[in-house]
Amino acid sequence: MPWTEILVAFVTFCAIYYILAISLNLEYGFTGIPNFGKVLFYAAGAYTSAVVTGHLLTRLAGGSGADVCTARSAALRETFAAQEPLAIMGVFLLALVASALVGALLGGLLSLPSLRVRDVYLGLLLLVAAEIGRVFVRSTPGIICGSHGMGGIPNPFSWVSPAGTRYLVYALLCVLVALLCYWLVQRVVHTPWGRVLKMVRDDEEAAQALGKNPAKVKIQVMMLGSSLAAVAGSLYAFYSQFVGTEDFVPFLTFLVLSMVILGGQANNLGAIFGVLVMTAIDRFTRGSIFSMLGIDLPFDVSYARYVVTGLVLALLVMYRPQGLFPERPLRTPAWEVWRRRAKSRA
Amino acid sequence: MQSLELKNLSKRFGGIKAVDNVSFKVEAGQFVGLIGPNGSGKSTIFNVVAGSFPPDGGKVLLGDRDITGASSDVSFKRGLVRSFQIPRLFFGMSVLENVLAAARSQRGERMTGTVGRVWRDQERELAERALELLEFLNLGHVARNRASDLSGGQMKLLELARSLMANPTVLLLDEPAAGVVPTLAHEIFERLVAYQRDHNLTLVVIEHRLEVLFGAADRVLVMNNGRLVADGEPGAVAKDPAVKEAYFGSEAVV
Amino acid sequence: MDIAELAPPLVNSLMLGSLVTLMAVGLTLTYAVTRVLNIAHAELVTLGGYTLVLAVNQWQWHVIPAVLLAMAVSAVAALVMDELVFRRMIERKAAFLYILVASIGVGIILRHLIFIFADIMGWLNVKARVTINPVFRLGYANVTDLLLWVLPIAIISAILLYIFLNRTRIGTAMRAVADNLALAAASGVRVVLARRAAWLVSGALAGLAGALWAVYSPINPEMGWVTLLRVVAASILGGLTSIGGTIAGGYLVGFGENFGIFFARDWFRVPLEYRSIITFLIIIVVLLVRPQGLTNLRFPWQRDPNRVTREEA
Repeated sequence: MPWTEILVAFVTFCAIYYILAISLNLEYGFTGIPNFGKVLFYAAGAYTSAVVTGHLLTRLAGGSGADVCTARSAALRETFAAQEPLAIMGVFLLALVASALVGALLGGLLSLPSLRVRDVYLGLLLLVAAEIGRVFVRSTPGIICGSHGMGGIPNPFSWVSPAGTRYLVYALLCVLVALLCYWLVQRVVHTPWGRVLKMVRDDEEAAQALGKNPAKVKIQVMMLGSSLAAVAGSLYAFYSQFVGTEDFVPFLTFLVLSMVILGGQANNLGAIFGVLVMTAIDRFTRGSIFSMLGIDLPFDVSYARYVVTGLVLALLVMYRPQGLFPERPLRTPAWEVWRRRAKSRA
Repeated sequence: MQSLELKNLSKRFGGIKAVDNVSFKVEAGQFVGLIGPNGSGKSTIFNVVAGSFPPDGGKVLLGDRDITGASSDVSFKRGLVRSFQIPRLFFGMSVLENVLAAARSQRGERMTGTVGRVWRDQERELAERALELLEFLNLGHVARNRASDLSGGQMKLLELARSLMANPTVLLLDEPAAGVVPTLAHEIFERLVAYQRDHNLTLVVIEHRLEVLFGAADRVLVMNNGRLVADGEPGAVAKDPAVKEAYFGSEAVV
Repeated sequence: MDIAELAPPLVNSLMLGSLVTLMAVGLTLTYAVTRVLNIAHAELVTLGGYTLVLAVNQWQWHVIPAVLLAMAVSAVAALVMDELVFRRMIERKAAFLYILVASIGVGIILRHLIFIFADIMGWLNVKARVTINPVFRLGYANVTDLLLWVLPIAIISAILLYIFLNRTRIGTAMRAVADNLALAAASGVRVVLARRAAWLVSGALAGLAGALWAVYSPINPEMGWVTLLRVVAASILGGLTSIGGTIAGGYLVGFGENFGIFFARDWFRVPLEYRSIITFLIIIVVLLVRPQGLTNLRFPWQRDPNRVTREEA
């Protein structure tokens, strides 16, 4: 695997993980909801995309929607996508929107426990909810191809060749979507609404005594956060062109959590740093890279990667649980007023 | 401008009667001090009135509206604001944000309200008022600091600023000057009285520094063991034997 | 239905329930005494399993000293974990959530160190070379000599733990610390000693469970992690702090899973793979019903000294 390909994959994953990171930061960093089930919403997006592609694209290609799991059906979709740019890009966009909607719905549903259970127990509950989802899909052949997973989710730029250019274009698209998500989140968060989130995080009861409705914002945050995570999942599905339950294990949630903590609680710019570092650890410690460098280890190098990730996570919460970059006040027009008054006094 | 009335209010914790059949009415625009030894039920009254937990019996009337058992955000919307004995600030936020947080009916607090520019104009107006309040309470110079970095006295002041920012008609303050140096305590009360007169605020204050409170309040209520044992003008209450008993003699008598 | 059909789930329930109980009691103990919800407890179990495999398969040890070695290794690992990570965090008054995340991190590290070891040894899926013999038949199931060992071991461990907590000085200290840390420290209880004892006992029980598991079925480096949620379910069924409740919880999980899936399959044709969902649902229901259902470190028949003292004035 040449270096450019590795780099393009790195950029793609940075973009996808960044969306996940700001989505977890919104819930955990801003609102104090420890969503340890983040991977569920990521998976929901990926699977929604698989369903939309499987059923819609196969029919468009003239196949039957009954056997989307077969290799023949997957091959049909791939050949079709390579010839019909409009069809595959249309399906991609539709899948992206559908994922966002499904994510929001699922997030709204799973925000309900947060009205009753708090802190560690809520984190545990959401973690278990994500595992239920994974085991359920894995054990049910009727749902999205069960444990075999579903292939043949064509890259929306399948019609671009060579493959190197195709992946580069897709990476840029992912970065674009990530920037869009960032812009959107910053826009809604640097407002009095964002202030209510932080109030709920710092002291829910005091927030309520000041007339805020913690339940309402928790539901809103979980819907928005889950929607973003689902968008990331959708981008991932079209990148890997395959979805399977083994991609959505709890470890991924904690990888994203380490990015968020590394970047700083409630600091979406800092999260960029966390994402770059952790994605680098995640992507550049693969067996293929080590063999390219001529390093031969007596064990699968992936394990070492997990050890490093666990180490980063543990050391961070031990010594810098608020993250490397400090939390800053929300950027609202209030600070213009403050600055003006400070100047006129001086 | 509203009155606050408690009718036969009771609250039990396990076997302990924290508030035992307490009734009183605070007239609109009155400054009432609420005193009594530790554990006499003062803070519990605040908690029940403000909706932190429901009473076991009795009624709470705000003006002529029954707010018994209403949750704290509902009471807040009716104009009732309370502060906490131990400051419950939003410690991860800046001082100015803590004050802004208390402003009512902010358009930008609704998710849909963050679209467009209207909330920005409102935010500027609120910031002007919040900064005036902070300067009024000598906190102007720390507006951008994190609330967790303040001293204990400053935290109490910030909690007060936050309560005033909410534009209350009825305000319950739980020891606003505890942990503040004595000279500052007098100053806080002077400013509080000035603010209360200006805004015709109905004010109930729990305070242990009687010399400070008696100089400011129109009327003083005394609690002991969950019951109301004295009620009257500061001068009269100070001489009331029941008050002396509440503070010094309860153990000896029982 | 033939009554003999019920024998296999019964035998499986007793086995699973005993193993889960051994693991969960340790989780509860460290939570109650030190307020650490130790997710890495799973890896202490795995560590015990691999230690037994190493001793039996590689060093040709007899199974009984191998089990004792497994207990010792996990106990030491538990103590090291606490000294390096959790005690430091608690002394710095770290938030409960951060301690939980730290334990998740420690678990990830330990699990993948075991992965590396297992990969080098070629033991990614390995069974201890210990033969299990059927002793008698019960309905459609074989009752093995292993089960006849595991069941009394679990019960005797619980009884020993009871005696330890109630009749020894360290045990009493542990209960005092669990009930009220500040009060215990003020009355001269040796808090650090109680803390270390809790981690050692907890680790030893986890190692024991892991070693027995390795005899029972093939293991892999994820065995502890995979079964962790069962253990958590057992512990929170016991309110996270009651040893008796945890024992009941462990067997409830064992019976719930095996009989739950047995009847679900019989009546609704639910496939066997769904069995772990039963445990997951137990966790969710308990958390929703009793979000803060915490009692103190007691057996169920003991009175809670902290009960009627909640007071707010």
